[in-house]
Amino acid sequence: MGKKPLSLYVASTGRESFGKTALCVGFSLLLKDEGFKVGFFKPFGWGNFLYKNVRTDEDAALMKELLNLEEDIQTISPVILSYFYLEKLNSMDRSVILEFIEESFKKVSEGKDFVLVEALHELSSGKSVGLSAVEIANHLGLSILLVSSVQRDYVIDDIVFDGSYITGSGVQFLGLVMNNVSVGDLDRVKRVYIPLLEKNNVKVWGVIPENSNMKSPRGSEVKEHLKAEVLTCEEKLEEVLVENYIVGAMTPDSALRYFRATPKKAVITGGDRPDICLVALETDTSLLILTGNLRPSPLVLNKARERGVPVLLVPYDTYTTVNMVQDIAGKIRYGDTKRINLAKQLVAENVNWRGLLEELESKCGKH
Amino acid sequence: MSQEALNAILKPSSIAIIGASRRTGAVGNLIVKNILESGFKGSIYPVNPNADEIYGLKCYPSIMDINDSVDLAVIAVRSNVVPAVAEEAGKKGVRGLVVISAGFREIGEEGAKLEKELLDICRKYGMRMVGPNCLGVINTSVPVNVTFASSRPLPGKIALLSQSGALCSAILDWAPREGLGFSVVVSLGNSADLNIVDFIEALKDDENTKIIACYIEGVSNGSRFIEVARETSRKKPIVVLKAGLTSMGVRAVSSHTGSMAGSAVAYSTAFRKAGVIHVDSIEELFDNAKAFSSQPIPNGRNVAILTNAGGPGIVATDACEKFGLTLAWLSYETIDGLKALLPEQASIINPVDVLGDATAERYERALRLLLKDQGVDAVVVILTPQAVTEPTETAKALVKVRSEYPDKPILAVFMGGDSIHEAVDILKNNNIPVYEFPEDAIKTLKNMVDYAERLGVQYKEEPLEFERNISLVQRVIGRAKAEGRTVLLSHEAKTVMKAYGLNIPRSGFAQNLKQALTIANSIGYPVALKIVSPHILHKTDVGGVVLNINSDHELENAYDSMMRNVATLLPQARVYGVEVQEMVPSGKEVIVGVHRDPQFGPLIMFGLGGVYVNLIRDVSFRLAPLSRREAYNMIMETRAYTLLRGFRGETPSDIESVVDVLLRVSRLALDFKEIAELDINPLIVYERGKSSLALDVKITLTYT
Repeated sequence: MGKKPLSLYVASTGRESFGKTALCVGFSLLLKDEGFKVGFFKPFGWGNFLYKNVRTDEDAALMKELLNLEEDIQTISPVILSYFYLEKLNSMDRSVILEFIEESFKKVSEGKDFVLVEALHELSSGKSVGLSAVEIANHLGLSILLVSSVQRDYVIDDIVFDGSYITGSGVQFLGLVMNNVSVGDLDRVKRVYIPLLEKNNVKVWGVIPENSNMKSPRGSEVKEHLKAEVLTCEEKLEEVLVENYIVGAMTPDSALRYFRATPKKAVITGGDRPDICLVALETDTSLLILTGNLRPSPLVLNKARERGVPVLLVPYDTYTTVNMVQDIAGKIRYGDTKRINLAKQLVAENVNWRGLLEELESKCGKH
Repeated sequence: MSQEALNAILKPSSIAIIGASRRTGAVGNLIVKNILESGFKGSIYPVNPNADEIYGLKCYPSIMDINDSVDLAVIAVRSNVVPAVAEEAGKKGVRGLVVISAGFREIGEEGAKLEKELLDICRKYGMRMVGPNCLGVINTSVPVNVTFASSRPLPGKIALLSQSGALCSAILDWAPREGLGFSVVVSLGNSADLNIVDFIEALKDDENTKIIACYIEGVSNGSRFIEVARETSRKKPIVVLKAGLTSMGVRAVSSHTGSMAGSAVAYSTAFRKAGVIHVDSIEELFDNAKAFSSQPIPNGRNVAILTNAGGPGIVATDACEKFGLTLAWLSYETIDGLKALLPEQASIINPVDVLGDATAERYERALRLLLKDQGVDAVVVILTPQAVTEPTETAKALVKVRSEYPDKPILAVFMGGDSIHEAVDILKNNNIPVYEFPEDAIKTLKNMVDYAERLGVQYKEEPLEFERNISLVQRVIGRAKAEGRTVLLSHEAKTVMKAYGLNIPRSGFAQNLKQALTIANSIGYPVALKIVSPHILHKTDVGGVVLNINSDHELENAYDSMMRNVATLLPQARVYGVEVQEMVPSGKEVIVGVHRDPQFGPLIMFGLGGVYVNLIRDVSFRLAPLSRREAYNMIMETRAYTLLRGFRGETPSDIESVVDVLLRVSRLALDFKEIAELDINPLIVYERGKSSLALDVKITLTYT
């Protein structure tokens, strides 16, 4: 076994936070360009994905493909969890789990210059069975970097709290990357949040602005989630982004007011509401979702085609459809070159990743 | 539309029928038959590769085989063959196409492609096209009838333009019995090329047309419609039935046409701007058509009612008042004449009751007296069949007197059934519009009077130029656009108002309490505090507005409670900060708004302001650009006007300033297409000479 590779444990603060995957994708690609042999490890995976007939974590599969990792997917993400994950972890011996994780990590690290480790959900996940990200980091000797979006003040408190907890547990805390920061918040972030965080010894390595191409689902993702039939403009599904959902159940006059104020939206309405469909097509609409399996008249579909707006047909009622679309978010999937390149670009432009790398190298040297 | 293309379609001298058929009942057969039976004097060339002759006319395998030149080609072949034959027609040098064939946009994507292809061919050869998917075109003055309708119209002065082909054929079938004749009938079909506006324009100077009656489901280019209709209606009346103005009607039109049906308010406002007579039913469409096509335009709104029955006379009188017509004051001369003519019990003042025993002669002499009276602008003659009534003779009398006084309209109301049947036919065939009941006649007369008054009004457009800071508004909109916001923040919206010369309260935007305190102190207490967030549309509902703040301490409290309330009630909303604003003196609160209608552009709204706007709905609308006169009329139409004028001894408010705001807002909406919605609510109007203030302003943008 050669020299121990550099490593970094990426965890997030706050349940709503996302962007760990984007950061891992972007950072690992940048490192790869620098000539690093990069590995990936996700000790606890979420078993929502079928990869070559193995139930595993989708991010783990993505990174395996992206970085051409030779290790088994079971090594990259050794412990696969699901809905009742505590029951599973609790039924096993903690030390056995830690040992299993450590072994896998060693395998993943072999021949690598850098291993990115991604935590499951939040920093605290697994704490009740003594297996939170902090405890794993402690066991594997990893430094933690937090990723968080900062929409509201209390998130800053959470970050500072998490930071002091990490440090207090004897784990190296590297700092924070802010992700998904809306344009309207940028000023407050610079003026208030960053100074406050640094005062509390939380180094901020980067502020990644909100990016619709990254976080908004594409028409194709909505279609897939709803298992919808496509009535027109199928070829546009890949390029349209859904930033908002709006239900069209009002009169066309008031619909026009709402629809105008809501850009890049999917309008959910009954197929028996051609009036609403046409108002939607008159405004900035990414997608029409027609419920109740009611097909619109060919003339309405023609108009959608003229405007280049895909039309989906679903059998559910409007209420059910609204509930279904709530959780669709943009996700980086393997083969999604557009989002993968964007992740790389966002990290390169907004994160001081070279500084982060130097910091890791110097800390590693001290050991 | 160019005169040449128009002539090719409306006044062709040679016609090819592509898809002519020998089979009785086939569309391609009916067209040939109709052309022949219409008495068309030009050349007729049936085109059908499988026939030698049709109705004795030589048949051609292709349009290319015709030796002579062809003005108009009527196409009635399967839709997938249409582009090919249209191409040939183009090569042949045909100038006009009437495409009867269906199977285009109305059947879906495939058909839409075919229609596009067809349109491209028309453009390529400079041909103009009616249809596809239409009944065809009739011009009785040529005469020519290139439709497949089974009924033939009488010649007349009414032009009928219809976006429904079936409605056309039903009307063509019904009209002869009503004695209604047409100059031109156009069934527009899908309007791929020529649309209703093109034909309104084309008929503007058609001397055979006295009135244009339209059935409309939608208008594609609203501003051109207004421009052309406005121009045309100064020469001849346009009566429009707009279908799909109710909520279910809108859905039906949407499905039927694939275009937005449009809002009822926008259409009625547009029709008013265009001087178009807007009717609610097919019946009313022809009630108006028959009066306008046969009667002169009245000189004023003074109506004389001549009746042989008290009840219907009173019904007519009520209708006059209801529709804003005046019962004419008869001159002494007329009264004396009537006194001499009529029995003692008769009513010799308007409504003039010639009594149940009136003969045709009594009617005739009374009618003559009324028409002679300078104070009478129009006469409604009511007849009920009673014991000695002579309906037929009375009808003949009306026809006779009509010719003596051609300058005043006479509308007849003959009530009854079998006993008046013959009389009604006489009236119908002699250009006297006859109605079954008084209200129909009075309502029609009202439209005639309104039309006459509009003709008298000179639409003088004043130059509406204001000092305004366009680049400032561009910057504000540009910033919102860069941030992907569709709603301007409060202070941004006020900046826009200021750039267009409206008064706004002194205010400032603060991102935290400290800044808020600084602003409050520079403005001076008392102040108001308002939340600034693109996600909060109704600030008051979430505790986002606090008024009458008198000290730093009160401001701190207000700030804290506002942030708490908003966080609790709308946790998803992103708060940018607060606006600190001076407390302004109270005045009359009105609302001024803009709603950009997809068809007709900026619709300007005025009404009583405050929180009850939606409850009271005391609002009026006009389309931009507004003239000063229109702005005044908008205000005067509302009850808010009574308030502004000074209700019960109050000092009058600065109405001039409201007019000015309306004109400036109209200008703003025209300058910036990005502004989709704008609401000034309230605009506080002060006493005369003290101007007005835009207290709260909302602006929604669109970027498409």
